[in-house]
Amino acid sequence: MRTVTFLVLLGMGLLLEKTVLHFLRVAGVKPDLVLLLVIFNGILKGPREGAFWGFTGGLLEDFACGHYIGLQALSKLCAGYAAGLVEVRVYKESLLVAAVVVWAVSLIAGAVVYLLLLSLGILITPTDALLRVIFPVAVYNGLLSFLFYRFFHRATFHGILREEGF
Amino acid sequence: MAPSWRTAKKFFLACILVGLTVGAIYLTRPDKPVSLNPFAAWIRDIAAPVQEGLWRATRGIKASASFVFSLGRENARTRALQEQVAALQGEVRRLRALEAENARLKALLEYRTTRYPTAVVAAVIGRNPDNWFGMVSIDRGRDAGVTPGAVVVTPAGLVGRVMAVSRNTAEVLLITDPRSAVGAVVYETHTPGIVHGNLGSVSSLKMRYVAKDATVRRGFLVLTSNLSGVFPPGIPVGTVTRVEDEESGLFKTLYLTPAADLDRIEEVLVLRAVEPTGN
Repeated sequence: MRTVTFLVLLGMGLLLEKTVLHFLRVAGVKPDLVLLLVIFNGILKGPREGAFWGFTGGLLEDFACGHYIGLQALSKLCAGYAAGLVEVRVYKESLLVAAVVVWAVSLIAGAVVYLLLLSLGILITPTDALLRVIFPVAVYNGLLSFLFYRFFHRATFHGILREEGF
Repeated sequence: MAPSWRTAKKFFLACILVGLTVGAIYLTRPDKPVSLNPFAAWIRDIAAPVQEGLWRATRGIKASASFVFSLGRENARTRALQEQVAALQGEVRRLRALEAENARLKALLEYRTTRYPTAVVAAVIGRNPDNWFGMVSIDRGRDAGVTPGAVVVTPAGLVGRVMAVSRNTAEVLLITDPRSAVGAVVYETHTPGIVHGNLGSVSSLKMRYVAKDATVRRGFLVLTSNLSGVFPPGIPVGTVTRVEDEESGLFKTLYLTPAADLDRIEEVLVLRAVEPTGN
């Protein structure tokens, strides 16, 4: 049940990214809801499950785009794993800690995407990539985590996402 | 020995997974415009009505919110817009004069032109979910005559090209996408170059390989050239905002603002391929 619920959440996040979030851009960027969900899950469930759902969520996003299948899957796999590494090291109930982790892991995910794009011959200057996409998205995600992390935390331990471990 | 063997096995499996994923990325890179495979096309066509509904609802909410917040600024804005209208009317008169001269010259040369007689009007129903690329989804597909590679424009200027088509939807690669390249020419000086997108999230373009001795200034207009073979010539691409010398010292780079407002496009024209005539 948790699996299906989380898949539905990822699908809804993807749909919002393709439609509604375009109108909520700040500094030209919109938040990455799929990445946000992956990081939240990684913080609470550890690196293995973080990596698994990172790969799954990224793959869904790649299929929605229809090209470069695996690009978002790899970056979100790294993000989910990195978020999971802090599971036993931080106080998971703290909003500030979650926001900092979201910000830092978003930077990692952005860097992975940028390196993969470079390897594909898509040339974007590092300054543009960092200042126009990676850093603003990380900040936006970090700010959104203040709004949504508490709900996700409650849902994971007491609500619709509560269930068996991975 | 056992723990290190387990770690080595996990590392090996992770390397295989990463390798397979990187292989999939290379295999699925969009080298050319395509018709989507049946499964992907089916998914797109099923999701399109939901996507379109959400898009239109959000657009309506945004318009209402903008109206409420802008009431206090309406008077000053109205005056500014009236001045702008006056300036634009003058520009229209000048362009009409140029158009008439162009028509006479082309008739003299026995040159036949067409102005989008077979275009398909399509509405934008979604955008790409990430911040790196610049793509939009439109609500017309193969059934309406949209073909992979078709050029997409608005009355203001060039939008991009159709990259993937399903029965009822299509994906358009915007000219601001980093993968996009458009053969263009500076209207005032007839200087050719290639216009590249920068980042999908940023509405700016770069025109590269412009001759170093070209006299190009801010405000010059850039149009599609007749050398590209993909885009019809003469479609506005953008306006020059900045001129820089390239690091190599051999060329200049022009920074452009797109002619079409790609952040706010709602309807587009998809140009259908024109059948060659007997003449």
